[in-house]
Amino acid sequence: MKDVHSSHVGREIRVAWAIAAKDMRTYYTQPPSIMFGILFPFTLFLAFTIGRNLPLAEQIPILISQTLFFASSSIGPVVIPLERADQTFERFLTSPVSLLAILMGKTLGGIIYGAGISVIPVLVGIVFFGSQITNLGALIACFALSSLAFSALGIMFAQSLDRLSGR
Amino acid sequence: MGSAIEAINLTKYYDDLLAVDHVNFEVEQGEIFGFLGPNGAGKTTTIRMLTGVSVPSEGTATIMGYDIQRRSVSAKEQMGIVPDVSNVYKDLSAWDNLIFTGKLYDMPKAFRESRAEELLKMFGLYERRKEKVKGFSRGMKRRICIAMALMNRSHILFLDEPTSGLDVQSVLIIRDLIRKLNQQGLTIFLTTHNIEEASQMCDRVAIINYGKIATVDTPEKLKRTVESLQSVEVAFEATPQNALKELEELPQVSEAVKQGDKFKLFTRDPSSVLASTWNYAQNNNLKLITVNTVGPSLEDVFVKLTGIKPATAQEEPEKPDQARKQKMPNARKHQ
Repeated sequence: MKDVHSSHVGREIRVAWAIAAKDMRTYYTQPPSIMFGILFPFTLFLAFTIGRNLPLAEQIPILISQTLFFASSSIGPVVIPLERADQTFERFLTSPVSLLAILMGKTLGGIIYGAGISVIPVLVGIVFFGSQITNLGALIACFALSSLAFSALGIMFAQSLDRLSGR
Repeated sequence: MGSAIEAINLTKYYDDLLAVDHVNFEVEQGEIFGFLGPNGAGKTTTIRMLTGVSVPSEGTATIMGYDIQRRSVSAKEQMGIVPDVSNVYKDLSAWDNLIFTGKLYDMPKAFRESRAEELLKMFGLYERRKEKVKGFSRGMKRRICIAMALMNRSHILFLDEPTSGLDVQSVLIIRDLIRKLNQQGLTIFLTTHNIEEASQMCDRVAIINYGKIATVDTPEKLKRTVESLQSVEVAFEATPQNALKELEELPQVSEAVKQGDKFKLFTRDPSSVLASTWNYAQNNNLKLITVNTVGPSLEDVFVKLTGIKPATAQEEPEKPDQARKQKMPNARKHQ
């Protein structure tokens, strides 16, 4: 019984990973993903910081958190409506795939994108401005939990936007 | 052989619209089953319920014995689906599309790679396997879509309008593939608007109209049910102006229709009509260039059972949902 359960869980994880990997290859370079995941947080950061005398130690965390929020939450509202429009989302519904595996895959796509993009301001802070990471464990936990929450938020908005658009 | 697909009282309401009305039918293993009906008749809704995309309001369906609602994963493992739109990932290559499908079915790596290679070779796309699908023609995308549906060696293949909008060469390739797959034992559930295609390919057909099954039988038996739709086709070298009206007035002709440069004279007695047509040609100094007697086609059966007729400019076609609401006495609020 335990083997059956573990093989079922293993299958769910493998399918979720396959969906996330496919989303990375297919949708990460789409214009809406670049616009809202990369350009938008950077622009907002500039709008927020230019003209203020904020110390650099405060500016970098602002950029990181904004990038984390916008990049993680942008994938769901980009990928799901595109998949619905191309009718590729029906592939999941007609395959022997559980709803949980689909959601896990889509959320994982947002987590990887958000966390991946957010590493860039961290590196910029360290390399160019001499910022220091005081607690690496807390930073990793923050990245993991925030990107999970924001990615799931994006999926939720994608679902409601999809319904509003009548698809 | 047992049944591959069984629909039991399948019913679907969309709010107060009864889209599919207690539909029952069985598809035997290894047969090609055609599912015909005019637009808005309930074909796609029925397919969506059979494939687990849509939940029936009432009734159920089984796929190779598995209830599509209660054991949906097992049921979905038995089938491949080709929707009316080729829903391939255009930014992935042909190879990656198949491999991704294999991953969705949790196929082991070696098996999915050998199966993808086998299918791409079978569909004549192996040489272009590394190209992105967005550069493919519509027919090639259709073939990729069918190959994706076959990745898991399914027992049943659902094909929704597989040849719609394709060029003649692609249509012939796909029809040939469907026949070969069926010869290998695959059960095919085929939805099509092309009645001639259904007549040529299907072992049995079901005709659905206003959400109800009008008939289920073999194409030849269905044609025999409408013997009154036998006809004589004639064409003259020069067509007189009143020919249609005059031909319709010939004895034993129930209806005359002009089809291009030919006239189709419907009758229960083709031999009498042949004689009277010959006399008509002699009396009017017309030279007959074509004379054929034609049995009823599946299209004739379809037209008779569905009652569809071409709309004229004055007679706007009703919207399907409006028509359905008027004709369905048992429409009710969605529960």
